[in-house]
Amino acid sequence: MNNMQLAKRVENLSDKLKDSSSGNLVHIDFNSFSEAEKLLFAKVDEIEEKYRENGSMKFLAENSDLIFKNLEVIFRRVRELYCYVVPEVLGCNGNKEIVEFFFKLHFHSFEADLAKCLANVRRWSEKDKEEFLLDLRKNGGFFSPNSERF
Amino acid sequence: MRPWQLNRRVNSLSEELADPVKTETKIDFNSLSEPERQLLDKVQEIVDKYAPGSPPQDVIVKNADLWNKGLEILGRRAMELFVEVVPASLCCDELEEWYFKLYFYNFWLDLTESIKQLREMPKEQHKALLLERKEMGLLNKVFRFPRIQSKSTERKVGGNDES
Repeated sequence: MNNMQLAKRVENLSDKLKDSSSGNLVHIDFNSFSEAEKLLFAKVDEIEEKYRENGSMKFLAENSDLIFKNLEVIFRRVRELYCYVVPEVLGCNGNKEIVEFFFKLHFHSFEADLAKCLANVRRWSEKDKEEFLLDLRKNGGFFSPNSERF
Repeated sequence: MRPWQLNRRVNSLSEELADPVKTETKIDFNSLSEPERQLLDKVQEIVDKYAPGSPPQDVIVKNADLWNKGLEILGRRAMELFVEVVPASLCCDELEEWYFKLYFYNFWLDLTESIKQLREMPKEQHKALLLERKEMGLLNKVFRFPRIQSKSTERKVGGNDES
């Protein structure tokens, strides 16, 4: 089977996979989480429940460490999954080692650049942010295959 | 609570969460669509048939469409999850989310371009590159690519207002 035939067969499978429920986001298997992480999620669920009852911002602020840790755990797990799956998929034709190297390199640069950028953006005044957003909306900050790269 | 106090409290929670048993992060199979599950089940059947070893090359070639589609599903689903969850947990507003998209889009284009170049490389050159990276001890090291920006576009592309 040559590459063109394979691409055609893979494309045919895409049609068979069309499903109205496939628009849903996948979940992380709950059993992947450690006992301590599950305990943290249960605590945050309780906080959410109580906040719905009392609507107190003070109560939310008092528990912000647990809420932020909860976000951090989810973020870390999703990042871990992504950084495992993508090099596996891209390097499936026997060149995993070198693909993994390039993946790590580009991913590290992406994270470092994004972290620096967000730190800078957080120093902008509200007025500057609003102006920039307005400009983006006016001129279209779109992402398409033809978008210009920097 | 001040940001540094919050940071300290969040960090102290890390110790409580430290678990000696490292658990792997897996996708919940039930959150995939029915046709996706059926396809992955077929791939799993093939894998199980030859376990604990790997399926022979001719079997993989014969089922290459299933194999590649299975990988594509996992890659696409992991990507969807990443671009949904990361900005939601990292970014504070619409502008930060826009920057996330901008940097992620560039990361993905740069990566796919590198992979394309790798695939176009003659086998010998490919081997030499891998060997060189190994000898230099670079396979497990990363560095940040330098970004060259003109003054006029600096703020737009990097959110940088330091100049």
